[in-house]
Amino acid sequence: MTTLRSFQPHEVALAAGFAVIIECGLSLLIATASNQAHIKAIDQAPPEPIPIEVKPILDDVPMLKLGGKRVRAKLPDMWVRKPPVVKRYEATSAPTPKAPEKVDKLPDTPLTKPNKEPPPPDASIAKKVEETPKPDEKPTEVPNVDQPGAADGVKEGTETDPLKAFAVSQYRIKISSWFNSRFKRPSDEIPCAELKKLRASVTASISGERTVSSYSITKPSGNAIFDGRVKSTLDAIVSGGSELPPPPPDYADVLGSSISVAFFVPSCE
Amino acid sequence: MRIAPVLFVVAAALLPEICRAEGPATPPPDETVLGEIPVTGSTAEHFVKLAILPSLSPDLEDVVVRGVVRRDFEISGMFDLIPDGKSPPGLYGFDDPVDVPAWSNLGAEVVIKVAARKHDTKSIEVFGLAYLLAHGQEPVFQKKLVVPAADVRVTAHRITDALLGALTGRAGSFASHMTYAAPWGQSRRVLTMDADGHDLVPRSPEKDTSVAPTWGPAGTLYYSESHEYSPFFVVKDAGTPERMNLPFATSVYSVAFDKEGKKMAVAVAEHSGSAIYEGNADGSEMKKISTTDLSTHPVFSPSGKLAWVGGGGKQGTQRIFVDGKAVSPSGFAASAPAFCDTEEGVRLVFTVLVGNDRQDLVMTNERGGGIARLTQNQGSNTYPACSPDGRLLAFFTTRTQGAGAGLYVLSLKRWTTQKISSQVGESLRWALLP
Repeated sequence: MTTLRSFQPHEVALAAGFAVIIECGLSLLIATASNQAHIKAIDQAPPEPIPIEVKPILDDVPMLKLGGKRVRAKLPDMWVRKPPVVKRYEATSAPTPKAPEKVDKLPDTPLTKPNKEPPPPDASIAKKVEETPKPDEKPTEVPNVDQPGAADGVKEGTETDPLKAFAVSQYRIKISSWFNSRFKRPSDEIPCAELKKLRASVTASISGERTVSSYSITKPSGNAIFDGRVKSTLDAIVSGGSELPPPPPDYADVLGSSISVAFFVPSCE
Repeated sequence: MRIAPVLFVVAAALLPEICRAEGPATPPPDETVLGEIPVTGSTAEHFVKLAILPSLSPDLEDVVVRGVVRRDFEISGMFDLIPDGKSPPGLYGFDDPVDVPAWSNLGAEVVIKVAARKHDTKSIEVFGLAYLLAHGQEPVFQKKLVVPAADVRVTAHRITDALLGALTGRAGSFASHMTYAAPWGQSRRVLTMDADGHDLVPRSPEKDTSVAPTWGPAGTLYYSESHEYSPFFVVKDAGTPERMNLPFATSVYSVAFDKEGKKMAVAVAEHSGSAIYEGNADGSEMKKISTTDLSTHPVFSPSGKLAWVGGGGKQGTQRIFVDGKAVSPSGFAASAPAFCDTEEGVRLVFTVLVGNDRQDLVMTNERGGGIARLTQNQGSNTYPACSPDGRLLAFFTTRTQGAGAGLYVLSLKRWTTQKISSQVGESLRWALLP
């Protein structure tokens, strides 16, 4: 009764009218709905090939020489005499008329199956016999190269001692830095694209005092400005009389009476 | 008929000379293992990335060895050390293999494994292994030392030295010690300490004045001492200090020995000045070799040259002399010469007075050419001394910035400094342990 008093009859009628209108409107919209919109797929442009300049990176570490111990010549498997296979029988118990009337201890081995034949008198008896034999382990393969070297080396390698190769590479970097600090690139005189193509090879003679006593450009770059810069650099080195860094005391023989030097500019940065 | 053979012999003898005069000098073919040296004009330097494997062992000796070796490698400046925090997860037991792919991903080229464990109740085993990751999982170098447990620190230094020797072809020199003079208590005394700043010990008598210490043959300590204002005399301290018998009645201010320990040089008071005498290591056959009115602070180069500080009177400003020839720049008061047998060759380091009573370090080649300044605007930097392997330069500084005054070491590879002690003194000397 209290609820009916809260709403007037015309309010109830108005609410019912709105509800009917909303339901009818929704039904009408659903009945007349149609989807005309179409989403077009975006066509991805096929990737265009972009030329990439490949810059070879010099491997500073002298290549290790391939080496190892020679594998002794061996006969084919079919000719190798295999060890005789010993057939073993599991220890089992079976009833026998020869058994004494009184035994101190009953056997604890399993009972022999009724249809199984007895083992021969000289059979090798074992407590447990593995039915499935283990697969043979393959012997470790070693390089069949009878010369000093490393298994991870290459045929063209020259160094057999990895520690020496590492130390020599450090010294090589030191020599390179020594020349680098004295060579000023002609970046302001030669366009970058041209500069990157140039390379001049030089053989420098090293004196007993570890100075560069003379040099010869064995393969000029062909560019007069670049070759001129290389020549002026080497002239200054020869006349300056500066000493090259000494080789590591443990490998004092790595610096001989001449060294090969290649002048080039891999990038203009 | 007899003249023809003679002419032939003469012609044969002259032929090489004629050819040399006419043709350009042709260098001999490349005969080294260095291959072709690339020269690109780039000054960027490549440092090898090195990792020291972490250790999970709780043993004290293992913790000490690993800590010492890591700090030695940091001070050396020879490698780019991968921080401990970047170590890949994994097993780090002594027998566990090195995870080559994981360390390679971090950029490591070399991996170092060090460990220590008890050998018996009194001794320990110390191991050092080096792996070149390009070479695989097998170590390319390993060293094992069995030493008394008390020698754990110095053994760790020896392991570092061996590892540096294996990787660079030049052994390290962390198993070494320093000596210097400094005010200590009531007087000026001679002190010694390990190369990493540990084990500082006063060696000279407490009530005497002692100056200019140096290391002599077989790691023996020598210094000049004055007892109650008496003339300075040379003391040889090979455990028990004893006075050296030298043919001088006046003060002997300082003493130096050559690399082989066969020659000795001393600075002796003479005619209101001082002179340098050179002779045998036992003090015999001493001959005066200096010509300047004031000559002090003798020091031998690795190649046997003798340098000292000379000047005063007619010579004016004190300069550095090498084998009798002034090599330091004129007009700058120079002092405290020291030779360094560096990886770049032999270098001479000394101090120059730069104003406001401050001194700075400069470096030249053995003949004084190619001068380069090593310190600037960082207090007064004095008394340089090179590590025996020539990779580090120690000196005293009064700088107030950074870690403050003290004894610093400068890496001659990277030109970075690290403080190893708060002590400031004079006449610093550095030598290998016997």
